[in-house]
Amino acid sequence: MVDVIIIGAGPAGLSAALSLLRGGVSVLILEAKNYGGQIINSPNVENYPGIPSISGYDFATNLYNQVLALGGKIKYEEVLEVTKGKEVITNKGKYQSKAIIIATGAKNRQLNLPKEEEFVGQGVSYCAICDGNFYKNKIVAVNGGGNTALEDALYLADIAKKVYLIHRRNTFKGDNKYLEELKKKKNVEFILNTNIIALNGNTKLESITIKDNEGNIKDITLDGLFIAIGQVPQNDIFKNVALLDENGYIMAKDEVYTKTPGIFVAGDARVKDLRQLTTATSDGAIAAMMAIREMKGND
Amino acid sequence: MEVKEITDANINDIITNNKKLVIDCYAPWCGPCRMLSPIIDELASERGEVTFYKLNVDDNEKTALKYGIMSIPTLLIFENGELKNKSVGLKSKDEIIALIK
Repeated sequence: MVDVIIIGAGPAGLSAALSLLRGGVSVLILEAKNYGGQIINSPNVENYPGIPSISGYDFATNLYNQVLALGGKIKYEEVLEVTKGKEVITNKGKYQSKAIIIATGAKNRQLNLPKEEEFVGQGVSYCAICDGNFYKNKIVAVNGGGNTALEDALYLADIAKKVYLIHRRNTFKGDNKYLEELKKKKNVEFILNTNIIALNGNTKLESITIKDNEGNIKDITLDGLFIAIGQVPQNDIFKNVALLDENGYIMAKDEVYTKTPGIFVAGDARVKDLRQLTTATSDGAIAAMMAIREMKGND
Repeated sequence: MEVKEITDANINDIITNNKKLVIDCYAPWCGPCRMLSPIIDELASERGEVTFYKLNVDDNEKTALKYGIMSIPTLLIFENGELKNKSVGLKSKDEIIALIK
């Protein structure tokens, strides 16, 4: 039996593995897709203490190799169920452990409109930095009101011919600094108090239908839509072992404790004020230490 | 096995001359592409019946335009010279295996 199972191989999960392995504890990491989590999308991380600049991919890969070198084991399996008895059931097998750390992070929130998934890579994108270059001199829209949306709109304003910034409210959650910069851009048009209600096109996105708060509906012809409306956690399978808030994030006591003894949470998956690389790795270290402490107490 | 690069210049010959072909369209600055790349290398070693190549979309805009690539990584999957499937975004090894079955 392995001592600790970590669910998710992003910065929080890998950092937890690092601390556990250094503490002489055996670790199995279960990852449904690829290691690294969301940070791999960042071309440049410049806010991690002690590292002036590094790509998200390099950061994640360094951490991953560090964990493997210490004897960490990773299996690419999707977790389907976790029991209070610390058993983990995946799409490929069953594993018993003494403690579990949930580090499943979050993913991009979708509009949940018909054709949205079909049009990903055909006009619909969740990453302006990744896909922006394919929209040189084209017409695009950004949807959202937070920093990601504002940064995306600024980035695209220098590439695309025209950028619509569509937001469901008339005030923005994002920094005023970005907003002021955006207002200076001649090719950026604000469309406020408005929701996107349909994505139109045959094999690729050709237009969107929008509806404002007064009920006016119209179509906008465009080549690309960048959706930046926040993140959603993926915690439904943990309902029996952890309390979730109304948005689906795990409510943790003293940062990393779930309601079930021996089951911890780390990183973006939990309710927290600041979701950054530093706070994810920090959570991982804390969850690891608390897991070690609890296992020692039980031995 | 590290997969070889192709370009706008030789892609058509490659498509004609391979029965089952996967082209990994990437850019060097793209994190998800760099994550996918070692998986493609692994599959190239394990799957002798499929031929794998990489294509840098920054340097080969013609191909990117021709196949309507608007997001990377994109995998173009050809069979007997015809485009059979196009997969967009980072995929796990299992997902790619399912795609090329």
